[in-house]
Amino acid sequence: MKGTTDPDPMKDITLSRILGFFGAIFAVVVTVAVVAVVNINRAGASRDWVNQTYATISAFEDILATARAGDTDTRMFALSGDDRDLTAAREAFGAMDEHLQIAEALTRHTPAVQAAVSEVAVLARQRVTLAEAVWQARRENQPERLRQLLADDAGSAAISTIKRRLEKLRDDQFALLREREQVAYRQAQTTRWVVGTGVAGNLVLFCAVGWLIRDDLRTRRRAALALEEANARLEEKVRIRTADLTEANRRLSAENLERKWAAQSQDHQLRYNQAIVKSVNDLVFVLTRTLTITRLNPAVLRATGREETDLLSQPLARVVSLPGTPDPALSALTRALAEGRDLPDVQVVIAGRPARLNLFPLRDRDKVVGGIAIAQLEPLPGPTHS
Amino acid sequence: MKRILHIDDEADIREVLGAYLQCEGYEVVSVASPTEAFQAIQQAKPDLVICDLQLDESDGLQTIDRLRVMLPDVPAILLTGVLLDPHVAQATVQKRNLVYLEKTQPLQRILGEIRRLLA
Repeated sequence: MKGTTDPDPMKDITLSRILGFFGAIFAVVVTVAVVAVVNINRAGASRDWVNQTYATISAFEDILATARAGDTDTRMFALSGDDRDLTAAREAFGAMDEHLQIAEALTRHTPAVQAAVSEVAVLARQRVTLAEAVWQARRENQPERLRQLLADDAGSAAISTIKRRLEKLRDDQFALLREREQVAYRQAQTTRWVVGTGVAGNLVLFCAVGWLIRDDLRTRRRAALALEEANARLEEKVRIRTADLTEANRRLSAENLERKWAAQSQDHQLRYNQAIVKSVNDLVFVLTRTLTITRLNPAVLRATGREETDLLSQPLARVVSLPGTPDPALSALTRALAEGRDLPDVQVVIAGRPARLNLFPLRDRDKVVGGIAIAQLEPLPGPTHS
Repeated sequence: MKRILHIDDEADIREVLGAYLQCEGYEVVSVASPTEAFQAIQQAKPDLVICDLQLDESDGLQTIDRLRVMLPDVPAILLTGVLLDPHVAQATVQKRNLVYLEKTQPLQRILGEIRRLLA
């Protein structure tokens, strides 16, 4: 028997497995979370870039629009000389300049684009310079110079060049946007796959944990059932053994009581028989085959005046004598016992008084083991009446 | 549980027979005299009476005759250590509708007779 209780190995294995599964589930959750956070950050950055790109495209379009508006208002002023047209032209070119600065700022991280924007800016500012020359000629009322300036400009492809370059820049930005959108789509798909795979993996792991727990519970139930059955068997054995012991104990008690009963019965019989013998007034001697006294009744003690200890183990001849016969050994009585016959009505003298004695052999299973001598004293002569 | 009234003036006999019968599943009321026996049957009627022949106050035959007045249908056993002549004993018990058993009989034999009477 072990001194200490060992931990349940089955429980340890199950616990380790469950902890392992939960560790795996945790790892999957962390992986999915990391991937998701990274992709969310990428998506945020991508959104910023997209917004910036749209702003850049918008700036390109605004540059072209304001440049056209400035040109148109300049031509209107040249024709009308209206200051409102001049003001509008100045505002348009001012706005164009702002858009150019915005575009340059937005493209500062892409030097190639910024360089292209700078080239457009040079062309645009050349348009402003031309417009200022037109404004001056119109204000100074120099029709010839004004006509010359407008005629020179009509033949130039400056606006078309600006337009073409800005459209090229805008198309490039749109191409980049499409490319980014594809990348973003792939990232979103990757995120979906990772999350989906993580969820599915965790579901599988949870199912495995559930199966493990169910298997463990079933094993425990079986173990508990087996233990219960073993206990029941043990209890049954104990019950049978207890019943056997109880029955054996009852039997022993009964046997013991039976022995006590038999002993009491014998004792009772003995006392009863002794009482009968003691109450008899005749003198009763129990003798061996050689006429040694082994028992006697109180009548003998009364008749002889002796104590029982004086007579027991003594020869019968010490108490009984045959009158007128020189036979101190009482050989006639001995002979009768040896021959196994009764010797009735023998004249004897006991304590100086005549008596009649009957001798009977004492048999034990047909074997003479001794004799019983019963003597009746002759009555004393009555008082003489004169 | 069957109740047995046992009347015997010897304490040892009462003790041994009472213990044996209790072992065998009987309720035993042991008394030393006819007076106690009458007190006992006032409290609970027995299913069987076992009476010793030689009692201090009376004898078993007389006691059973007196008990029969109150318990006419209850079987009785006269149990004695005095070995009577079988013919005399048989005639005596037949007249009184008794069962005569000697104390020299083993307890099993006495139990068998009790079972037969209580069956």
